[in-house]
Amino acid sequence: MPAEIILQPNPNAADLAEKRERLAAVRAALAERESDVAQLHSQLKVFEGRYLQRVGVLYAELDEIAARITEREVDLYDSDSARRRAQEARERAQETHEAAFGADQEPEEFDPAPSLKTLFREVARRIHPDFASDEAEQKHFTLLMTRANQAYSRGDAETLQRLLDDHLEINAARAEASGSDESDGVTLLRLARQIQHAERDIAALEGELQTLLGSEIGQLYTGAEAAQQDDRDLLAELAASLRERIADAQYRLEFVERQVSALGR
Amino acid sequence: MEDKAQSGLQHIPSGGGLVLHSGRTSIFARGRRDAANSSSNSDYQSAVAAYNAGRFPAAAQSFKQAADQGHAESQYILSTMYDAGKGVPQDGAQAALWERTAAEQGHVYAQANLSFRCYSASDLAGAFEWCQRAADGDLAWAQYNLGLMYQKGEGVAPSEAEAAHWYRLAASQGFADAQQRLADLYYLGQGIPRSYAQAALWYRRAAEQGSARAQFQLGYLYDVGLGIEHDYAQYRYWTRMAAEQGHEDALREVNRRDYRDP
Repeated sequence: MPAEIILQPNPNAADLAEKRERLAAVRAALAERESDVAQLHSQLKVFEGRYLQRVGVLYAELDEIAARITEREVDLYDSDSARRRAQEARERAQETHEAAFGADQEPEEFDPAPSLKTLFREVARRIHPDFASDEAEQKHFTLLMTRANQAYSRGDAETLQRLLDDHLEINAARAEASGSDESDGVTLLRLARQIQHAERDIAALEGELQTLLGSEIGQLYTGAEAAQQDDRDLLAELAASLRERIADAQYRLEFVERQVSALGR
Repeated sequence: MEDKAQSGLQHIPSGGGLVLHSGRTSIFARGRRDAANSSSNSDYQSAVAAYNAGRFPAAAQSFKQAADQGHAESQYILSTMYDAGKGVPQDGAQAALWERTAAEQGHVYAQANLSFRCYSASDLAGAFEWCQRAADGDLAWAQYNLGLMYQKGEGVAPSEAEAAHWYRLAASQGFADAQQRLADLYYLGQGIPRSYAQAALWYRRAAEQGSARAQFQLGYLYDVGLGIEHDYAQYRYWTRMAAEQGHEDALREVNRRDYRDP
């Protein structure tokens, strides 16, 4: 009887291959999302600058005139209400001026707590790309390292801790395997966890993207992009309508000033 | 004021730590609001065109679309259409809803209407608050009504000084009732130092706009020469103007004068 050798793939091996593929795909999606968020963030920064330059300064001008009108009104008819109104208008003008012309807020001096330093070192020594076992892992570690660096520079212990926990969780599975090699079962478990982590991070980034888009500047940006599709320049429209309001306010200011000089005050 | 959206207290939740300039949120919020309320909103434009052509159901539909996009003017007009049952079935709840949405966006007419709606429902505190916001938005009608609420102590502790302040702002915008009320306060010296000259000045402005009470009062000041040079012709002229409008004291005065001095 001829021995029939049927090469049956090890069911674990098929599973492993499938999980590895899945992990690679999820990590690719994660990297994609990371870059989406980073890109949107830098687009918003640029848009913010343009907005402040073309529109923000006009709000500052409008508020300045409004403040002067209320101050002239105090000259005309002094009363507690008139003074309070003038003070509120002046504070508002000040705020708008600072928002429109103020330099970017200086980043606070970076002086991380010792515990954050320790935590960062713990993370860095585990996920440094140089310690990766293969190319795919190196790519992933590079991504993690970037996030760890960002988290560290903004003092975000939570993210650092999560990065560390993820890593420990993965390695706990490895360590349980006796001997030098992981058993297939342990590898499967590790892969499952790594996929889970990546999916969780994608969801978090998705949330971040929504937060950015939902912010006031994000909504303005989206509106400006949509207007551009119709060949409209949203910032120019805003600026034009503000110039009309400024002209209006200027007229009212001159009117009040004429009243003041008529009263000889 | 509740309107903290404009004073920089809002904060962008910082997601995963990507922090935008939170101190600038208010200047962005204003731009976003103004952009959303731009008159170039296409639904708003087609709504206005339909409205002007008398096609009210179509207008209501387009206003609704713009309103859903946050267009405050459309929200306000939609609320008035629900109130009047114009192009849509009359619906007070919908009217109140859109009116409040527009008011919260800072639409002064909606704020004034909402104030009136609160007032009609005997919610004096609400009426005062919304009236205050519309008055801060420089709406003469609201400034006048805020003055009234201060004078009567409705929704706020009575204060004639505050009343004078708000009457004056409305009066400076040419609001006749406010000019007449401000003149009354000057005449009586309530909330402001008594000044017959100022009273005469503001009565005249209101009288020229046809306020019967101001015409009668101005005539009286001419008669007795208070704050103004005595002038018999002016006295007769303004008293007759008031009488022609049915002002009772003026009618009595004219009849008495005609009997004595035809």
